[in-house]
Amino acid sequence: MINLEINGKKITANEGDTILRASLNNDIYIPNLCDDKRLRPYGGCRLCIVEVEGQARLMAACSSPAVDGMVIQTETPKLKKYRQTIIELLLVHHPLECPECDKAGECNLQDLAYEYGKPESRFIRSRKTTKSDIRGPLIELTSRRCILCGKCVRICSDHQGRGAIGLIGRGFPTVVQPAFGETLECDYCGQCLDVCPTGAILSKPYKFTARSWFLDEQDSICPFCGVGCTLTLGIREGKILRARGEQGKGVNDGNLCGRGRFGIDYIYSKKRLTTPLIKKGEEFVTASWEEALAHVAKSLTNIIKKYGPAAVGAIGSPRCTNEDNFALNKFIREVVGSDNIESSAAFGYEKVQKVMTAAFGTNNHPVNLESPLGKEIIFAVESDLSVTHPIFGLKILEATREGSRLITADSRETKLTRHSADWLKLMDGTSVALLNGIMHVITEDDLFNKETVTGIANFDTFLASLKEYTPEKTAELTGVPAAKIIETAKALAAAKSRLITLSLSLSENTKGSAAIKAAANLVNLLGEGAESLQIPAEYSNTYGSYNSGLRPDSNKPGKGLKEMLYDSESFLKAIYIMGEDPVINFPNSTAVTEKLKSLDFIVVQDIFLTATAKMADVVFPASSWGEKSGTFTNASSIDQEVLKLVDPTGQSVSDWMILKNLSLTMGSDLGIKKLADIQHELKSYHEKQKAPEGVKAFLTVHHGPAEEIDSRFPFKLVIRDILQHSGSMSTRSKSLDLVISEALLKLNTEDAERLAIRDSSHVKLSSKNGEIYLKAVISEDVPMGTVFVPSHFPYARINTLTQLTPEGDAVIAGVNIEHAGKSS
Amino acid sequence: MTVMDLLKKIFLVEILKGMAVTLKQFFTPAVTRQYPKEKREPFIGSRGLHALVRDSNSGKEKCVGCGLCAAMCPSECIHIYTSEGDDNEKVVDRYEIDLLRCVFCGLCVEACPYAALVQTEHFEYSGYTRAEFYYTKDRLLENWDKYMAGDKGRKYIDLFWRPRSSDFEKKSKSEQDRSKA
Repeated sequence: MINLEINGKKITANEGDTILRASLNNDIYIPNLCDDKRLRPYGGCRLCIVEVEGQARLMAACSSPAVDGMVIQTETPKLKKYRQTIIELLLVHHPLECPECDKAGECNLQDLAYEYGKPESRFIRSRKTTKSDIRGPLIELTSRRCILCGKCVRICSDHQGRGAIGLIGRGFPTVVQPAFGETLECDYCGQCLDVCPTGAILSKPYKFTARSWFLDEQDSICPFCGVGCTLTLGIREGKILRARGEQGKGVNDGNLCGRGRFGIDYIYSKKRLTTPLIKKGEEFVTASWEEALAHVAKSLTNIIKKYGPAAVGAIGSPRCTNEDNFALNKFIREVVGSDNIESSAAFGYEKVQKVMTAAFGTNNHPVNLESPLGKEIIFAVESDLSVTHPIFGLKILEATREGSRLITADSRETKLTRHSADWLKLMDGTSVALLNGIMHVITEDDLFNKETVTGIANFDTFLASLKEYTPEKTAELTGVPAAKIIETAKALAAAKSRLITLSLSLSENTKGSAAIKAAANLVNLLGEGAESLQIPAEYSNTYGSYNSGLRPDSNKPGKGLKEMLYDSESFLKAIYIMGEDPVINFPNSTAVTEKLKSLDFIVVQDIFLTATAKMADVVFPASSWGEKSGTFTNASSIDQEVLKLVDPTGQSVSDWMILKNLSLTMGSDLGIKKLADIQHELKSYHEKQKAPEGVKAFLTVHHGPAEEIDSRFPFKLVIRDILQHSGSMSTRSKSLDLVISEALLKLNTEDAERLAIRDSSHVKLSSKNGEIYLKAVISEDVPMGTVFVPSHFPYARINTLTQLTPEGDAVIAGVNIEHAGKSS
Repeated sequence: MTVMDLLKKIFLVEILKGMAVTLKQFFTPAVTRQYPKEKREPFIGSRGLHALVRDSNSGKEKCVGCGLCAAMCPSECIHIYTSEGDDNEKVVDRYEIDLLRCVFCGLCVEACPYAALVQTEHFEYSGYTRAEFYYTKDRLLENWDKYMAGDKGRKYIDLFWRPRSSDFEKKSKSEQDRSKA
């Protein structure tokens, strides 16, 4: 800590802080245009000049380190005069089109010109008139308004790790552009929008919709991934027009990805449900709430009477709030009397929790979003966290900038592999073999922590199971050279601190619980605790819904998703589905569809008429995120409030309220009158859930090959997430649809040539479970013998091809590709 | 009480003085007008009904929807909705003044950077419904044609549009050369 004096105020600052950082941290504002705390000092605008006692020259506060005992003046007549001239010079070429520029009102340059600028300029030159670059889908570049501070370029390359734009040219005609002036194609995170101090980079969906002073800004939590970023939402007259990140708020501290920034307009999709629907014959008929509730109450009561409460099941949603899920939990357990309840977490995050509990004995496993910082080695296993959890991914990139060594194991080039010190290019779905191979090297060379492993159960059986994973065998299985496996193992063992991280999502089929078991074994072997293995929960409320009772109680004979939807035994007669689309999102959708068809009664409560809702007997319209209050619990177990910002669409009602009303119609009372009642009850429920800690154990796993690849189905089908989408919900967003609007299939150039498939042609993809039609895109980044399909688009019905293993994992399926026209 | 005061009281001097004033007024011309039979010529720049300036070249409104008038408006009676047009230009979809809330302070006219909004001299309007006083963009443009026809509008803007920034008005060639020199 150092002491210095700014404007007569004595302050303390951290060693190594710049003068600007020290003063801003102490609420002393120094004008600046090119500084951002996420970026390194640049010294471009020179507005932050200050007078330092004993120094003859003026110093740029943003790039001068604060020194102990400094006496600084930030507002003197001399400085004012200098700043006035700088602003005057900046405005020589800057077009004065504030009335037409969307940035007006929140423009740093405008504010400073107002404060320091002169009414008349001494320099009259022609103003820049270049046209805006409007070609990109979401971001518009208007170089005539640019003051060349370079913030956008730096945040894109240094912070975001993308480098999509650069300062092109020299002198006055310099512009911010993608390489060769091509159309901007990037991650569409929009970080450049937030940092731009002028109106040179603007959001296209927001363009000309409202002046900044018409907006009422409120903070809420992003509805997409498990990080739980705080969005600052601009609302005008009951409509959300834009989202932006604000520094100092929430877990993201001003960072946002493209989904949160542009994707929230899904709530304004024209396909939203507006009234309750009752199926009469084959058609849906709109109904009043009273009719629909009475119909459901009657049918459910009949089924309970006839088959008993165990014939009714429920599926909750990681997209709904804790309160909604807890109300469903109460409804199914107290009103129906059944224990068959689960959510899609069963195919994703629940596996993580179970493995972590078995391996480390602890009960809850929130991630620490700051965990990558300060680690010597970060090992990302077959996961692109910068896609699944972009803001957590940014932390990993930040750690690499600060000196951490990032090792990635991935089949494709991703943002993480580009920034890693070492990229182990493995074959899809072989991470278990790779981890076992690494552990084989560690055990063979006695590099593990001998003190701690003796206290962990099953060590001997585990050791024996590693025997077969010699580096040579592993190299053969994974495609990673043996020398690299040995090198990685030694590096991991030698590191003082390490982080192993991966993600597990519902739709990805390259890794399942086996991969988490292997990763947990590695952490245990190296003598580290559960905090060295970070696996964030998938969606905005996956963590919260899992802890709000959306799983069968271990003491009761409740059934989970696997039994409800995949078992041939038909104990289930009715199902209540809230905010989930099993037909599209769950593996082996043919089986799921068959199962749902066999049921007597299906109730779906959703914001869209999903494929599952189309099969339902009654559909309730639910209000979406932004239309109801509640809480989301993010992957790091922080409860965050989600606000009701706008009025519900049509006649839609909050999920918990539908359940409350249904209970009343069925003649029982959930004991809920308002949201606070549920929150109160949820609190005591969480208290009760606390279980004693268990013991650590090694969990023996083996590399199981993916589904048989035979001559009939010679291609490996890999399904993964892509950056612009989150589940299938974001595909309803108009803005995100502009970026990637079509489901596609990527295949290798050589495979395409062999099969004579042209780029953008339609192909038939078939597995032993079914067939779908997709557009083929030929790409170099898919290995031979593999086809890659993003998971998100509902109409693609990719899960028709997938298969669920008895362990509840989706595995890589064998598929065949043909021309769409050809009949087989 | 002096003798003088007493005499003044007896001879009702004060009353007579008053009567004299009254008598004088009988023979001076009246200052009141028999409105609405007699109407006064309004002063230029009086703050009456609003009008949106019609651009003589394009025939459309000059307004670009910058929203400064709405930001200034103390009674918050101006509502502006814009969108992106076919040529990616800013289009004013709706420009509405709720006249019943307006206090005729004229801040909106003062705030306008493009001299696109004026207040006409017309102040006599009445109606039976609230809707009649809700002025939409088309009605405001009609007001311009009706009350600011001919040279009147140009004169108004010349007199009352301040400050005349060089960037907000296309100067004639000679003026531009002068400012460059």
